Amino acid sequence: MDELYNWILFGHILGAATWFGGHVLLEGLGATANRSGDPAIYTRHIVTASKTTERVMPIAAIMTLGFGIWLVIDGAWEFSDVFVSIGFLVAILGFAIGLGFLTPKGKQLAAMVEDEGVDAPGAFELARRLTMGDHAMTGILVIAMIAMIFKF
Amino acid sequence: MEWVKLGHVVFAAIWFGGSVYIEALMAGAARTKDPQVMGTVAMRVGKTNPRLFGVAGILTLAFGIWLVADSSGPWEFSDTFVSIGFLVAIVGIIAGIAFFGPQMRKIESVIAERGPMDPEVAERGNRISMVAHVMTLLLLITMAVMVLQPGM
Repeated sequence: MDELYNWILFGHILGAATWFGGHVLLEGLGATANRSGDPAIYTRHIVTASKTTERVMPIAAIMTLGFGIWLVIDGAWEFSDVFVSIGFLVAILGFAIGLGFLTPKGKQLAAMVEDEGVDAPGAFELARRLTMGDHAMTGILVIAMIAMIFKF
Repeated sequence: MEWVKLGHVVFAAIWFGGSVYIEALMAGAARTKDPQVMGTVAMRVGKTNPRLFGVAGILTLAFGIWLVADSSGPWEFSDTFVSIGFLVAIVGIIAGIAFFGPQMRKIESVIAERGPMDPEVAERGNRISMVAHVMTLLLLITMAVMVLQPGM
């Protein structure tokens, strides 16, 4: 493989590692906040984490997908390879969960907390639903990592 | 062999991606200029970090050693990129045990005794952030070295 290919691969791995590693950390931070047993602490954590996720994850996801497409075009892979298709599917699902659920619901929660405080009715339940979305995202990213390493 | 590679990649991604996410989370907290928010985020990160990154760092190193030791693999312990990987993993693990852990425990005790507004909290937080920046940069360089494999 040429030097350009390796740099493209680096860009792909950089994006994927940030996307996956960030979500695993998010799971860890969520578990720590959950252990406090205080709904207010948990809700406040989800608000802070949602704002960070909105900034970091779209860039990581776009880098992963963009460099991934470039790798297939430049490398020995085909768009018809199963692991490439799994990668695309995960990227599409990831964008759908992120843009269709996590971002709007995260903004909704932040607005609720800003207007009515951290104890706003329904805020804790919404924070829980956002966590479920994060679990789904982490799960599909694990599947993508396995597919990429084993190259099904 | 692929399972060993998967283990190495997954834990390295958690280590690196988690570090990038924490940088963004701490930057977001710093932008609020609210010592209470900064202290709360720092405490939560401090409780999660040693568990998650301690495990991720040690397992990245262990799976890395396994990858090189496997005689069916193309790598040697004398390869430059392998040596750089070992060095960074050891530095990261030592930094976690000898610096991040004790510093975070100290911040926790200062917050418990004198509250999050105490100047020592911000001072120690800044010190931790500086070392964390260096660690993230080292992990970024290591990822580049692992992918580009100079000298191979």
